Amino acid sequence: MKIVVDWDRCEANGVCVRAAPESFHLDDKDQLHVLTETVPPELRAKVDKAILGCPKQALSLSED
Amino acid sequence: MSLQTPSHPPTVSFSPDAPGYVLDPYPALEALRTKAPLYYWPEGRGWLLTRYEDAAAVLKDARRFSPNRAEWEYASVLGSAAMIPELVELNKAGLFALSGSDHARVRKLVSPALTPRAIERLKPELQVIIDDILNDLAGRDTINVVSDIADRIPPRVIGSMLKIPKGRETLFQRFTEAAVKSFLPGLLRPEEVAVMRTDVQEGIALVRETIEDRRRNPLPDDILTTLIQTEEQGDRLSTAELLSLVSALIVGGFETTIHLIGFTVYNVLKRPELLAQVQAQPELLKGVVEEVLRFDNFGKMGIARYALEDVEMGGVTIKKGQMVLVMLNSALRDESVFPNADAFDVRRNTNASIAFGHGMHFCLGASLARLEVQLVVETFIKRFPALRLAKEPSFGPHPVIRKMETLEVQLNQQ
Ligand code: HEM
Ligand code: SF4
Repeated sequence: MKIVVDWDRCEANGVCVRAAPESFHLDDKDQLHVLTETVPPELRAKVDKAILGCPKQALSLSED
Repeated sequence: MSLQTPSHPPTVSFSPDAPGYVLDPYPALEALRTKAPLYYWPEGRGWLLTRYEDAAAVLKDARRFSPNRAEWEYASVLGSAAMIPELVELNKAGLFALSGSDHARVRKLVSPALTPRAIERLKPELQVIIDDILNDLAGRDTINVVSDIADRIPPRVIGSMLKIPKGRETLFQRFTEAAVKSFLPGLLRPEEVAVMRTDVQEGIALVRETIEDRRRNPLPDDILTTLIQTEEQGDRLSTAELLSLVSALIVGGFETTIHLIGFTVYNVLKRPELLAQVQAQPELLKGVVEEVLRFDNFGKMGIARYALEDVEMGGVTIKKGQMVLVMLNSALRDESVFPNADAFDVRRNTNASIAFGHGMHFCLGASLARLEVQLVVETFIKRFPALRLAKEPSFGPHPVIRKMETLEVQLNQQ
């Protein structure tokens, strides 16, 4: 499972960073970075919360 | 589980004006949540949703639930539009009511100004405002935190963000109150409406003036200038949208912040052991603010959505055009999501909190509100180490907020 970001949608509000700080980071230019592109099983629940919580629906998981 | 149909009304009732509700709405909310989690409230002419799961689902379901009051079955009779035509103009383009691509477009333009980093950069400016307001308290013995501190912060902060000439920001206050109250027009007295209309008119005039002034005198690194120039480069933001946007910052950011400051100070001061911990470790305040929003939410009611089609939920049918009040205050005490929900625990995990909403209308000002409130409370506590509660707070009438009117605290040792 890989985290996919729709960059056009992301508004850098940091909701995902609060939900899963191990997997998401906002730099000081408000650019989002995915720290764990492949989601380790122990972070899956947090990443799911981040995806669900994203106000812009900018996050998803892809199979490959 | 019992099914509720109109022929078998649940044996609960809901009266937010009952004595005691504003002080402690939680027993009433718990009764709803456990006995009738989807309850049609005849007086408010809408459904009350009190479970976390239903609340989150409705807020996430933009296809079937709109925040646009015009979709309400009673919009033409009870909508604020019917009573205050000026609000039609504001609501038409206001972020709160927009949906789909219109919403995304406007939100995209304003969101860069409110990201966590952008807000972090405002910190020195915020600190100056806070210090200035606290300086005015020097020599006082007992103060009212609501009027002496909380009320004065957001006008200065938003005024500073929009670079409004000092002194004029306070004019925003009544405009905000009117616009916030208009959210539940069914509960307003007719004589209130006339006064509100004047406040709304004056508020709109002030915002319009500010926009025009900035058009003539653009400023560097300025939110309003950026928004105006974006408007003029392409057909991106109309004047109506600009007006709505500025109003949204005022409406969304004033009373909320004022109350979060009051409720946070109260929740800390009424727990002397917590006050001592926060004095020793100010970084605890982050968790305190989140827990105050969860455990003692200043919301009296909930946030409104209007069904765009018939929706089956939890054994009831929400009809097209009906209003749903998503009771965040209740959802935030739902045991199934927050174990031991009725305990105040500043170290709990509040990641699931929906105090700032959920889904596409998630609060744009969340980072600002969090930083603002943390800084105010931290500075206040540091400045007055002997701070203590003088009296329990008093509450006044308000259709949607548990309106804290006075919070008297003693600043110095007697
Ligand atoms: C204590 C502080 C605050 C709380 C608890 C709060 C809560 C909320 C909630 C629950 C929503 C969602 C409304 C809905 O879904 O219908 C919202 C939206 C919004 N808030 Fe806040 N808010 C706070 C402070 C602020 C501040 C300081 C600002 C502005 C600077 C602000 C601006 C907004 C705006 C513009 C929206 C609409 C976003 C949209 O529709 O896309 N809020 N807020
Ligand atoms: S929650 Fe969504 S919009 Fe916000 S920073 Fe993360 S990806 Fe971007």
